[in-house]
Amino acid sequence: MIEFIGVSKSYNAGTVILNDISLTVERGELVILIGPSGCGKSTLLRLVNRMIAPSSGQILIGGKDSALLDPVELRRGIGYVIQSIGLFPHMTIFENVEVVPSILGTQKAERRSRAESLLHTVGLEPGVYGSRYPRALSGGQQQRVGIARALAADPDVMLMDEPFSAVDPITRGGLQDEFLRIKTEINKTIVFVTHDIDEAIKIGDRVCVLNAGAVQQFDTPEALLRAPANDFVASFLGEDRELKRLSLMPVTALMRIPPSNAGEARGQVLASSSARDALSQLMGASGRELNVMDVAGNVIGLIAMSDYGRNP
Amino acid sequence: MTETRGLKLNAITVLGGAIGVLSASLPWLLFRPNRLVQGDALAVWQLSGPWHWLALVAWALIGLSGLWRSSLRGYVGTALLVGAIAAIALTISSNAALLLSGAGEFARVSVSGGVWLMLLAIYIAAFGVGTEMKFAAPMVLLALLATFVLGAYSRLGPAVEYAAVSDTFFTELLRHFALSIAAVIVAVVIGVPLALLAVRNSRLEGLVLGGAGLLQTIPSLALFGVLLAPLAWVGRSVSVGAVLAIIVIGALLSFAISRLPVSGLSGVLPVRFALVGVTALVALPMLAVLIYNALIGNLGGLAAFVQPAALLSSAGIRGIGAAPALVALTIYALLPIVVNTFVGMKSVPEGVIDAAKGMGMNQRQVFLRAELPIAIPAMLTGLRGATVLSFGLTTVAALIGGGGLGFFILRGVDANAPDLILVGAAPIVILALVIDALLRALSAVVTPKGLR
Repeated sequence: MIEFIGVSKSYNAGTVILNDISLTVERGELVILIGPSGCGKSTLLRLVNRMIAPSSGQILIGGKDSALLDPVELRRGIGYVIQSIGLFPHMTIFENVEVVPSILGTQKAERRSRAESLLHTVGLEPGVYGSRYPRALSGGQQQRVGIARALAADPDVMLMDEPFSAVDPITRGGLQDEFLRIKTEINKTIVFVTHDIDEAIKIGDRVCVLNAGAVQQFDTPEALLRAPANDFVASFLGEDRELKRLSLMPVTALMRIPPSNAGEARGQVLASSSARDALSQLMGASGRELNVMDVAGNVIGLIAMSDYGRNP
Repeated sequence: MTETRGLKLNAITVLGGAIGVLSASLPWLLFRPNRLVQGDALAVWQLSGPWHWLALVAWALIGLSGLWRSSLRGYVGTALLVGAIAAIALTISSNAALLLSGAGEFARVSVSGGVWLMLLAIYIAAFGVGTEMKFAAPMVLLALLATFVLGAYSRLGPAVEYAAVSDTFFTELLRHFALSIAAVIVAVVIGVPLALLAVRNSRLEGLVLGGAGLLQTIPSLALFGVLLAPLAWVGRSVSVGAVLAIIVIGALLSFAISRLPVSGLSGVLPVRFALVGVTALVALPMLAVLIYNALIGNLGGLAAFVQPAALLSSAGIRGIGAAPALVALTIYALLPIVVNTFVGMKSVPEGVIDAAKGMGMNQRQVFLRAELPIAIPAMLTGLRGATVLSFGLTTVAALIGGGGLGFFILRGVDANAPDLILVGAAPIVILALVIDALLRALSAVVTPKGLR
């Protein structure tokens, strides 16, 4: 658990970066910090591992005041993933992943088997990539290694500063899906900075929208999209925020249980689809009803354009 | 059909042979009855004996062999080339003997343009023949070496001059080596920390880089003039013990200040810098002279360092001699080391340092595990530059009695004996090339595999 209590940061010249921030990241939760450039989201993240010191206020990590901990010790217990990845170019992938355990004095064999299993976790075959050097990997592969490296010492907390911003959109989508899978495996408290609202909605448990050094709204993606707290949040979410909300909703939440004419030949949509994807298909089917199918191929409901009017 | 495959004209061999034949248009030897006269250049037809004609015939045949479409031409060409080398060596040897007989003690024979041109021809022809016969280059080298060992050139000017100074040659060579190496070591001791300081503190960046560049522009003679009086005074009036005391007190004070609870105060840092600076200014010339004495095996000079009452002059710190030479050489070696260390450290990506700190490396670990391995290739480039530069510059040490190979060059200039200049200059070039190659090899070994 990470608690920010009345945290402010300003520089000598009087520029205020963060103004009296108080928020709590629960244990095992993935909190997104999002906002425009210069809103203080990266600064807030870097306060956690004391890469930056607050001007005032307290940051509690697991109930302990981080200001009283040795910064080097503190950082060894916190995974850190950054946009520029920062793999050590002179070390192999194995050596990169094993950096923190080797500083902590973990035995070589133990380190290596941990590195191998972590590379598996992030979807890189250790036998193929382990002995390579970073420059031989693509940007997406390098960031997978970056995530494995951050996980190597099994930290309770992970800090991720725009980890997927530097890769192309297709790779980014793949990394996000992969990361969602990894997240359920590792069960860490994660603070994740991004400027991409779609990424925030896709992977965040809760999203904290920041502007001008202050929290504008801190809630689940669904609540954020349904009821933006102010004009800034609304405009930041975009005019299409209802569509974004549909992408978080399964089609089963809107479908009608089939009446007697079920089974009639219609277009189909899988029950696992989002309401947004189903809408897209409905538009392609010139607005006629679609059958909602389960994995076994049974019709479990119907969906039509008119169903989108009843917004739950 | 394999016989003729690829057997087109071998243009390189033809070129080599043609240049060999062309060498006949230049004089091959130079004869000077004494050091004061201009001397006579001897053209090919003025030489005696059959060997020079045979050499020219060999060159012509080498050129023709490049046109001959037979797989044998590689072997024939190599044999002809070895023959040409032997004929040239015999020409030089027999004509030098003939010219020098009864010509007196100061008469000198040197090789002239034609022979240098033939050296180029040998290089080119060996390359050309080497494309067809694997062992051509080693055999040519072996032939050249054999002519040296067999003494074909022992009557030539540089060899005669070398024989005259052979008793001091290796002493001066060792001094030259020791002056350069000691200066480079001290330049590393000063330059690397300065460069690291400049990397960490952008306000010092201009001062350090600009300062090193400025020092480089001081003419060496002016520097010697400036150093003469203070070094002479220090050597005469300061004892070894006093210097050691200053070093110990300076180090202790600096350490004490670093441990003060008030070290956060802005006024303390300049005081500490000044203290370290003054201590270094006293300690470093001592260190340079110490390393120099150790390298040349001067036990007397070394012994002075453990006698607190001894004056610095007995340890070798005087207005002339090795001390000012070492100070000047250190100053000149500073620039390549400072600049390359700085560039190497700046080449470490920001993200790497951010990640290293963020994952919990302390300052020392960030430096040793992340920054240094990435910066070391550039730092070694600086070391290489500084060393090669030093080897050349050490020549001027002879001007102030510092010794080294410059001694022969100066004497050669004074005595109007170009052959003696060559005795001093050629080893400097060869030594610099050897050191350069060695440091290149070291650099290749030390550069991490992921960065190659």
